[in-house]
Amino acid sequence: MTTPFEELAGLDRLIHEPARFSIMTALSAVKSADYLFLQRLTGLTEGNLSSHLSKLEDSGLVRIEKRFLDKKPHTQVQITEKGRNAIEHHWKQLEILRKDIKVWKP
Amino acid sequence: MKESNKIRFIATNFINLQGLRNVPIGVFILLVGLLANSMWAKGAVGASLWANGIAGAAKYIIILGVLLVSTVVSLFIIDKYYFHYFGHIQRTPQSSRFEWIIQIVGSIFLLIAFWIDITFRLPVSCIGLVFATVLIVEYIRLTWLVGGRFLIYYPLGAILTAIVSILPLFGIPQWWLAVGLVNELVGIEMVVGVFCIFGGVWGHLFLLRALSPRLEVNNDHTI
Repeated sequence: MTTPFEELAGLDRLIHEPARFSIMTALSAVKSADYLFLQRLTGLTEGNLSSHLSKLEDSGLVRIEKRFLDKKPHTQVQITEKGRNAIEHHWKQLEILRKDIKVWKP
Repeated sequence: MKESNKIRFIATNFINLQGLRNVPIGVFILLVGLLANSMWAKGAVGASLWANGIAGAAKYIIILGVLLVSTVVSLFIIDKYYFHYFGHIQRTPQSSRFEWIIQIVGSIFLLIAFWIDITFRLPVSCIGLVFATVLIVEYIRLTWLVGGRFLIYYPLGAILTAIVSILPLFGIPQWWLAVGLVNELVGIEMVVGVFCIFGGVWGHLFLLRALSPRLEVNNDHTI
């Protein structure tokens, strides 16, 4: 039987990083969101947000669509089915961890 | 956990939190109420409106048209403002569907209540009570994620509207005359208009605080 601390170490680090966790949490609540909204919500700089989104896209957790609106570049981000399952699984893991830690005795 | 719930709350209700959209609607409702009040006071309602032919009615129709166009233009400008400063989201189909259902059902009940109010002389305003109920349902729908910590103006507006709707039942008949209004329907309309403006500004201030440009916390341990 694993301890809560072992479970903690087993969390998906790709999602558990605070900025990516915020991004994934926000995206799981909507169909899609644009770059500006995610930036305002997370408070990340453009470069950092771009870097985190690239990591999530490379892992197939989000889909990024770039297009032009009124001759200006517009980036729309959408969570994939894999991403939705991953964040929901992560939420469940955190919930289980929270409960386990409450009852855990050394 | 709480912070994550707040993120989900803002993302899910981003469009509802764009409170400035409610301000021109509230102003429109207030001004239409004042216009109706003035028409009622002059007896220019129903068939009497056309007593002096098209010329007599034209003044009111033009005012109403100008108000409507101004509201639509204001909404368009506010929409652009939110798009450029706060970004854009697309709701999930479930979320959109649920909101549509509440709006359609709410509108049907409001129409029925309006018919009851103008047909029967009841000591309560049905349209006010239905509006208060819709506000409570909306409040529960919007805040279930965060346990009612935000958007307190929804239940406050509902309580205020419900109290105003039942004032005649508690021995304060024709309260609307005391504030210079000709009937209860216009009185309730004024309360709804004020709520839209007040609630809109409140919602916008919440959004400003929640999505204000922040300095990124330097995290050297980024995974």
